[in-house]
Amino acid sequence: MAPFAATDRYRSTAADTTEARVIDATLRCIARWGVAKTTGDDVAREAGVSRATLYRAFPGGRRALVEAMLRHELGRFVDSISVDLDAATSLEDALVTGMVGAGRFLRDHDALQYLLRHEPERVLPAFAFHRLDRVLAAATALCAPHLARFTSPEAAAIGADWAARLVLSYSLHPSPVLDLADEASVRRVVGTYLAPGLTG
Amino acid sequence: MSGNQRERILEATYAVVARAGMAKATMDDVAHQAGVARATLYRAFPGGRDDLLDAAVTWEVARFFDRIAAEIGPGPEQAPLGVAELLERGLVAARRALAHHQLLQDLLRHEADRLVPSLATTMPLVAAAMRDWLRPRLERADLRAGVDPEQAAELLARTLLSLIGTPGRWDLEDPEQVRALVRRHLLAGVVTDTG
Repeated sequence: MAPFAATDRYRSTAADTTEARVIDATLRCIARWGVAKTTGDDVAREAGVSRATLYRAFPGGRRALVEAMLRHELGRFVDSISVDLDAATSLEDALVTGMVGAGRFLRDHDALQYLLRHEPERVLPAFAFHRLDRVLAAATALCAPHLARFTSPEAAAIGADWAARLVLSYSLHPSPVLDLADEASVRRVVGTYLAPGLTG
Repeated sequence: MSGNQRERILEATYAVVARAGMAKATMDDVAHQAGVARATLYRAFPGGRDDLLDAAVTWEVARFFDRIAAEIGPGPEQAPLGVAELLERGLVAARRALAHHQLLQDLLRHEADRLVPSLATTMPLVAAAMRDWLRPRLERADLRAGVDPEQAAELLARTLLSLIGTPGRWDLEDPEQVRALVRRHLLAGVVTDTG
C-alpha cells in the first residue's frame, strides 16, 4: 500500500514549473477578475512568461488548462490534509479529517468562491452530471488509500465517494445538518450515518 | 393569477425551450404559446426571462420526481413498502428516467452553462421536498439509536440526488449493486434491520 503514489500522479505538474506557474497565475487572475475578464495576456504576465511559452505549456488550450487546474488543486488539497490524515487512528477520524479539511479548502479557495458568486455558469457544470464523475473518481483515488488503513479497499472507495458527495452538496448548499466548519457536527454525521455502512 | 394559468405558462415555457433551447426562448414565444398577454406574463414573472426559465426548470424537476413517486408506488390497494425497497426502486426509476429525458440530455449537451446554474438553484428545493417525503417513511421504520429522522432524511435526500445525477462507481441498472448500495451502505446507519 503506497498512500502517496496516487498523489504523485496528480501532482505531475509540480515537476514542470512552467505548468505550475501558469496554473497558479491563472487561479490568481480568476480570484481577482473571474474567467470572462481573464485573458491569455493576463495569465502570461502574472506567470512571468511569454504568450508563446504559455501556449507551449498548454497546447490543448483552455480545456487542457482547466483539466490541469482541477488535478493540481485536488493534489494540493490532499497535500494540505495528508499530515492530519496520517495521524488519524480510526476510519471515523480519517473521514472527519478529510471532510473538515475539504470544507475549509473549498471555503478558502478564492478563485472558486469568486466564480460561485459571480460566474456560477463557469464552474457549476464542472461539478454536475457526467462531469462530476471525473472529480469523484479523482477524489476517491486520492483519498481512498488513506481510508484503506482501517477498512477494506472497497469500503474505503465507497467511503471516499460518499464523503466527497456530501462535502460538495453541503459546500454548495449549507445546512446545519452537516456544518463542515464544525468538527463536532461532522463527527456526529460520520459516526451515525457513514461509519456503520463502511465496515468492509 | 390562477394556478391553472401559471401551470399553462410553465407548460408553454417547457414547449418553447424544447423547440428552441434556452438561449433562444423569448418571453414573446412563451406568451404566444401560452395564449396570454405579455403583460400577464411579466406580472407573473417580474424577474423576466431568467425568472421564468428558473421557474420552468423547478416545475419540470418537480414533475419528474412526482412521476417517479407515482411509479414506485405502492398503489393505494397495496401494503406500504419498506424504506429500503422504496429507495431501491426510486434510484433505479430515477436514473432510468433521467437517462431517457430527451430535453435534459439535449440541454446538457448544448447548453449546460445555462441549464446547470438553473438546476443548482432548483436542487435544494427538490432536496427539501424529497426530505419531507422520506421523513414520515423513516419515522415508521425501526431507527437505530441516535438517528434523527429529519437529519437522516436530509442526508439521504442529498446523497440520493447526487447518485441519480452522477452514479459514478455505481451501476444503477444492476439490481444487486442498488441493493448493496441501499442496504449495506446508505441505510446501514439509519435503520436497525436493512433486510
